[in-house]
Amino acid sequence: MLGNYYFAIVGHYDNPVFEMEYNPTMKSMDSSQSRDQSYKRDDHRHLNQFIAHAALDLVDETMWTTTGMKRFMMLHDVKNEDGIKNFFTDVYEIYIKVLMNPFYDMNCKIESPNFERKVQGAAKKHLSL
Amino acid sequence: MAQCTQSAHEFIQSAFCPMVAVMCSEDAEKICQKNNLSFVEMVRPFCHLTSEAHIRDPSGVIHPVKNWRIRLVEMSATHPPQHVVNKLLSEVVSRTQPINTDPNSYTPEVQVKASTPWFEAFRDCFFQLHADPMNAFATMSSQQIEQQSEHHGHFKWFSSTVFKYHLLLHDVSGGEESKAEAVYQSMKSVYGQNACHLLQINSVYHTGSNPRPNLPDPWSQFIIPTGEDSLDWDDEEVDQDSEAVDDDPENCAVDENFDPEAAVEETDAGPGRVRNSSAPILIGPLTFDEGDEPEDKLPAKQLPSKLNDKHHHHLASHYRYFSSRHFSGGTRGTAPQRNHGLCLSLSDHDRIKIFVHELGYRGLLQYIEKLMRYLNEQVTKCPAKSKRKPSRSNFKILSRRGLHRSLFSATRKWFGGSKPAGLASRLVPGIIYSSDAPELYQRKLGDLAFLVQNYEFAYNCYHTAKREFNNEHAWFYFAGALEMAAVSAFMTSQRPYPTHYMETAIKTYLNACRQHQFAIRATLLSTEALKSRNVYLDSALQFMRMTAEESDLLCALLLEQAAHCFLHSNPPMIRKYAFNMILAGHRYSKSAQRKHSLRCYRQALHIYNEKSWHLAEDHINFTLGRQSFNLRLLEDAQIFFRQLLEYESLQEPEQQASYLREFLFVFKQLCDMKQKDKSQVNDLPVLPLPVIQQESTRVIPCYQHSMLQSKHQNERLLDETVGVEVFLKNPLKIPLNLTNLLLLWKFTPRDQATSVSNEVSPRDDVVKTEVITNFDINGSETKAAHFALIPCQTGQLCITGVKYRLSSVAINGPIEEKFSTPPLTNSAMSAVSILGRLELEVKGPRLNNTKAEKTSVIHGKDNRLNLDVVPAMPLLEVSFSGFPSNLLCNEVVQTVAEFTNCSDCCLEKLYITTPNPEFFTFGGISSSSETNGKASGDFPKCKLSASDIRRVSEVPLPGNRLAPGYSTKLPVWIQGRKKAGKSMREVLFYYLSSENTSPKSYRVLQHAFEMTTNSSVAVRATARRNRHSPSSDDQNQLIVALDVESVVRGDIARKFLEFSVVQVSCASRNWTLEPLSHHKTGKMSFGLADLSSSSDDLHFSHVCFVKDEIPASCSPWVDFFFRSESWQEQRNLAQSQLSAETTSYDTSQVDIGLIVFWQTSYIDKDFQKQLVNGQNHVTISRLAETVSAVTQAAPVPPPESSSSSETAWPPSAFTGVSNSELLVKYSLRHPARVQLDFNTSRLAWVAVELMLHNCCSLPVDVFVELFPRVGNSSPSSETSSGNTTSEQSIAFDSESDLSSKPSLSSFTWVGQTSKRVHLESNACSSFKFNALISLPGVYNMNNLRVLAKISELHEPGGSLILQKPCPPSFVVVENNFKTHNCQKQV
Repeated sequence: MLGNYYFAIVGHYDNPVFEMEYNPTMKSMDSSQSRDQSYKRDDHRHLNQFIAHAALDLVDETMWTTTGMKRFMMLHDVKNEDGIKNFFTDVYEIYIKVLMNPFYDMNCKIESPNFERKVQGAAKKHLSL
Repeated sequence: MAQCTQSAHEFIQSAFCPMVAVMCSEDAEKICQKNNLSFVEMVRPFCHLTSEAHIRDPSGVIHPVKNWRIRLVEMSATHPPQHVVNKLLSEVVSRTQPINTDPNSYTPEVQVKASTPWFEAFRDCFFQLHADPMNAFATMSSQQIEQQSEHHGHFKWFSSTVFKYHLLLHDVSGGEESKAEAVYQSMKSVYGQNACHLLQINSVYHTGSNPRPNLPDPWSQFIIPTGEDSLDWDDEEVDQDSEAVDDDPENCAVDENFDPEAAVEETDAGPGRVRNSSAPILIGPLTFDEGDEPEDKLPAKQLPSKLNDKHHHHLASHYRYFSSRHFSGGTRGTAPQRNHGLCLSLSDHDRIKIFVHELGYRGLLQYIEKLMRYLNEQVTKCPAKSKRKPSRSNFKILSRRGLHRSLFSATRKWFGGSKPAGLASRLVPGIIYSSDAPELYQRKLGDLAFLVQNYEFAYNCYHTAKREFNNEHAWFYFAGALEMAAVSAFMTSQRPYPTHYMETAIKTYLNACRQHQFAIRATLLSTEALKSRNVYLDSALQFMRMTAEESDLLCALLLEQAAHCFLHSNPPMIRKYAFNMILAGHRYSKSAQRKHSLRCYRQALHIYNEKSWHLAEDHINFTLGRQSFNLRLLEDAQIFFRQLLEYESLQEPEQQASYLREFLFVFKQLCDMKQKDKSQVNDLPVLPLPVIQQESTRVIPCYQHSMLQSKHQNERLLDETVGVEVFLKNPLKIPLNLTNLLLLWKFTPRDQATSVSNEVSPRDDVVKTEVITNFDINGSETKAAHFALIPCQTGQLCITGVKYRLSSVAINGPIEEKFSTPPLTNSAMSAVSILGRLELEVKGPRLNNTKAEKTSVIHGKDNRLNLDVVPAMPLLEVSFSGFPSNLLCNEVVQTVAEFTNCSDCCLEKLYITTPNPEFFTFGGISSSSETNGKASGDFPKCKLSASDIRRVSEVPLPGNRLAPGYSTKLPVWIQGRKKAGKSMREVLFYYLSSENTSPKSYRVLQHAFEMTTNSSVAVRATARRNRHSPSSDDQNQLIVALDVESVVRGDIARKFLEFSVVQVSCASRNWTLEPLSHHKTGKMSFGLADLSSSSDDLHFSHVCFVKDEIPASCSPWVDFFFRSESWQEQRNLAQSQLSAETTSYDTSQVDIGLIVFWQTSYIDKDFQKQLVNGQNHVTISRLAETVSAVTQAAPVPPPESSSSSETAWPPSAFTGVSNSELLVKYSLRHPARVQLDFNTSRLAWVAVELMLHNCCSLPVDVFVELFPRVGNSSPSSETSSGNTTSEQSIAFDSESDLSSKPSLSSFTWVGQTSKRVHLESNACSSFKFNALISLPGVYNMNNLRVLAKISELHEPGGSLILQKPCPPSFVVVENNFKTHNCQKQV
């Protein structure tokens, strides 16, 4: 079963540093359908944000230490724990590389297309089971 | 859960208190109505018993009862049906709004302390409406209404035996006391001492005209129970609205008791008498009693039907009541004025208090004590194991028609255990007991104990009951018992709160019984208890469990409370709080609670704000905007919608378009409203779109190229256009359409303090403002708008902003569509456009001087938009007619410049300046020198100083001024650049106003030309000493070889087929030019004669090849010469010679400037022959050098790199040639041809004469050496060993290669082969050498070298230096054949 995923990196001030929606079903659909789908999704795009933000409370409660208070949040509708874990590991590595860029400000939005591409790749690798 | 005003204990106590049903006769009600209060209302404020009483529990222990409350309820009151209940609840909630609407109060910090009075109101109301408090398993009374066929009341009684209390009301103002007393006495005798009371009221006669405010008003807190009703509802209720919510279900029915009979009777009754309420007067005052007997099954035959009628009637009125009272507009003008209880004196209040006290402690408490004892006995006697057939009993508590005293049939606590018959049909698992079933005894005992605050005992009872119910699978009762057990455990304060009891109870209610209402009640109780134990998280979870509820209002309330719980938990879960607030707001909005919805969203917005969860923010802002708009809070709505547009939105274009539409719509409404209010008409609203890029804003001086320069940079002239460039950015993905853009300004006229602005009306008399009618910006585009202003008065002009109309016309599609829209729809669309402004706020550079400036961000002042309008200045316009943009290199073209003064001031002192003065001339400079030259005769001369070309030159205006409006034409000559390629030529005109009034400032006019030049001809010149002149004074002659080459390429070569040199002029201080030869090959030779008069004057000499001689010494030709690099070179040389005259011995330096005029032609489109003229300049500064006027470019000359190579050569070339190599000039004389018959003689003898000429002014030692015969090397090696010029031309080399052809061994010197001589200054000497030649051929005689040094006397220690060799000198040796030829030319 193909699930929908919403991935967000949340910064120190609870601000989203990076957001990505991953919907593996999108590609297999023809254009008109995916258009409908995307519209449908658009109506609920804000809900992803709401839920991810609200979940931060629980995350903060569970975590015992953080580096730079960066949190990876994944909202998913199918159970895929291993995939998500691997995905997180990969993304963490990519993210560290972003951090090492001296021109990147902490807690700023990551706008590197390279990063986005790599995260997409990781998502494709681990999430589309 | 938010902070509540009641503590948990208070809340539970007040929720569970004894209820007393009240039945009033009409008379009694009327008496009470004198105070605008029903009886229940009248008594209500006094129902809280502050004194303490004691009660004995079944085991005989005395137990205190404190702070007891009794709730009086109208007996006849119906319980409203579910939808009315819902409406009521929603009404309560919507009426109760937060007091503080300050936006700051929405922050979570404040919310921690906030209370939610609407929730409390809701809760109170919920308990009053829904639950018989003591009866956990009683169902909604509303369900009963329809089913009462036999039951007259829908109340559930605690037991079949009802305690009745009788009250006699006595109207003091109108009744006879003795009579009342008599009636009271008879009542007492009938009902007993403890069950009767006489209450005297209305001791104040109230006319209604003057209220007596000094009396305390115990009703006030009930009238507006929420305390304050700060939000102004237009359709606000009359002052009793809130009470209505609480009590109206009860008292509304009272009015219906009125019947015509009573009205008739009323007139008969004596004034002040307690009136008869019913017709049969025959029944005496004392006969009213039977009806109150519980056993009395049916007092009158007709009653049941009548009651039923009545009841339906009540119901109908009930609805009417709600619909009319709550939703039709009334005014609350009387609100502050008290109009109730006016007939009651303070002593009346006391009497009511006494009555309630009597009722409570004397009557009720004793009854409860008795009942408890009875129940306890029952419980211990027969445990409720055995199921008995439930016994049913009917109660009839009726107002008999026989009552003619006001009868307060104080009855019973209502807590009855029965559940209605109708309930059985519903899905309720487990057993249903009748109201008197012995199974319920235990439970009833607990209830009673709970009521009288004996919580420990109550807990035990409930606990036992719980187990029994559990065993019998009576789930409903089980849940109720559990719930009450938990509550009483909480109330004891000694036991731990059994959370699991409550959990189980709620689950049972929900799952087994499907009784959501009870589940909610249990939740409310439980959360309150948890809250007081500080277990907020559990409380939040309990709240959230109930939010699966279908009622939106309830969900919203519970979600909100859950949110508050998250906020109170430790650590605060602020993000969950925000999320729940959003959900609550959503549910509120679904339940039409707009204000609450708005508030919730606003609270949540504080959390989400500025964290760049943009989609979430968009959702919140959009909802807020919508809600605010629906509540007519246009200002707020506008703010929220504006925020949607402000940051870079992630939304789809369609969404953005709809946002923009909504914003414009709301904004429009807001503006309309403001206009109606006549407020702020003068203030244009600031619009959010588009965004001005403030820092890019700049003022363009004018649309002309003219600029005003002055000390104050921001001075602008009267009547002249000021351009302002503003960059507008569209952050959205949809195109924006702006119309009627114009600049807003504030103008302060000189000498005036008041300023004028064009914000409201255009003030074209002050500053003319250009309007841009249409301006479209595509999505995500940044576009510059150019505005024009023309100040018409002097003063201070401050540009403040941009005014425009933002419309949604182009929102839905590409801009093109807009143009195709018919005008009809246009008018409709313009309705959605908004007139607004954008502020121009430019910031100066960031300051960084003081510490404060370093630590914070402080920007300096920027005055770029503050303009000073000063009086007019002349304004020059210059136009060139037919300015050539395509030229050949060094081509000279004449054109005409027209100077026009466009202003009203006279212009003077017009100067022109340019970084490239060589490219143009106005002529006229050397007009004076020309006349001088002609006057002086032979050669035109001009002073060296006259040739000073500065970058700034005055334009020769006639009269040196230009009157306003006049224009002058002047010829201008333009010369193409030396190098091919594109180039920019910039000129700047500078001028002053001739009027004294204008401030000391000048203006400039800039212009830039772009010119393309194509290569034309290259000119090289070489001068060498004439060695072959027949006369001996040849030392004063130079031979100039001029090499002209056509270097045109490509198309140009096809266009210009032939170049011809028309004239060569020479400018020199010492030399004049004479023609020598002219070859078609492009090489020319000229002789130069020494003028032998060294002076400062520059002499011009011409050699002309055509009929008309060009006066090259005149302007403009001489101007170009003077501006050329050649002249610069020549002049530098001349100046260095002048300065170093005394010590100079450099004979190789000359100052010859050659001007080569050339002409070519082409056939234009009209087949006319067009002549093209040009002049090249070349300087000869050294002898025996080829000087190139044009570096021969590579076939395709790269324009930029060639310039660098050009600048590179002059220094290296000149430093290479050492002066000491030219000390001596030498030449060879020998016959050019020798004829010999080699058959007869083997050797030809050639005599060679070597002429040495000392060219310097000092004596020289010379050493001449003839090379041996093998030394007769090739001339090329000779010249390279001489190493004189790096500029040897190829042509020259190839020519000299001739010499290497003959066999070298056939030539030898004979005789003396070296000689040392001493030459005096400028002296000559000659030597003869002999050579023998053995074979015929061409022989180079220049097979020797000359070394020289300045004599020891003048320069000791010098060494001999090889002198610059002279060109090869050839001898043709022929075998018996004679010819004669000149051997060489250069």
